Amino acid sequence: MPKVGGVARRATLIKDERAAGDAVLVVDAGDSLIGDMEPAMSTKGASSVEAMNRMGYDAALLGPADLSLGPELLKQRIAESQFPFLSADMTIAATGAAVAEGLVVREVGGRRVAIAGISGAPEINGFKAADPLRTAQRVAQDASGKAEALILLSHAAPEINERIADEVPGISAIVEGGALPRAEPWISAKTGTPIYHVDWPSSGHAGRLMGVATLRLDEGKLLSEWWRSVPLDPNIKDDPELAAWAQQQPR
Amino acid sequence: MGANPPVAAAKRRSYAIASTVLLLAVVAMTACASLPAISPAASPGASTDPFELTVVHSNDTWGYLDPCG
Repeated sequence: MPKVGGVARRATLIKDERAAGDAVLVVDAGDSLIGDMEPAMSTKGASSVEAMNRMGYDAALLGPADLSLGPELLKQRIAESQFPFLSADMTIAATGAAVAEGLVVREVGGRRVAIAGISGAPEINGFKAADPLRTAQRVAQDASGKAEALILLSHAAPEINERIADEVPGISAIVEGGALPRAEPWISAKTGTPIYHVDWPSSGHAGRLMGVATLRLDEGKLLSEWWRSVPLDPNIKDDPELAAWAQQQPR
Repeated sequence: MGANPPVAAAKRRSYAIASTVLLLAVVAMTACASLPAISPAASPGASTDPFELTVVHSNDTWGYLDPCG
């Protein structure tokens, strides 16, 4: 069975999608920094940040595994990133300071798009967590009037994300992380907000699939959406630059 | 003793002009209140037509650099 995944193929997909669309956002819904493989473990996520910098990510959520690095290492990773790491619900317990930005507004293809993040993490490693639903309500209000779309990245439990989709207006789409993917988008019957969740990690297996959502929007309202899951299989050629860089990284 | 007729006429013209200006100001304020507010998200020259946003997303990549089985 052929191997699937890798940053070289991911970079190719990202480049192809950026070339095909007018307004393209590249985001990660959490737990991108470390897992059970090198070099991420020994570099404490520094190699992951560099890979995402090279792939041109627009934003990434801090998931529970990312937060396990602790406040000091996370500060370093955030400083090294060329994109914002997001977490609107987590604060540093000792100081009350936010771990990362909660909401950013990016100009994408001449359009202003807000991106917010909910880590949904437990209160360990020196962090305090706010209620995810209340946090979602707060960021949706903060984003109102500032952008034509709001993409919420969330690593909260699926049932919580469904509640957010049902109860918080103004969210164009939720991109979900965690262990349980959704074979198809879950669409709220109340608001029409879709939830996308493409991949699931397990020991020795991660970063195999990418999701591509196409949203048609008008004055903040979602008119239609279409989503596909893309396995990063050998049909996708390696981006030569990312392949060369990845090969040089210590294992 | 009554006002000099030319002065009275000038005063009447002044009142008329002031009243007209005031009336126009009231009309303008009412019209502006009924127009849809300009979205803070819009900037001069920005389009407000429907648009297509592509969101390319990953999750739980765990820092993997290489393909896996």
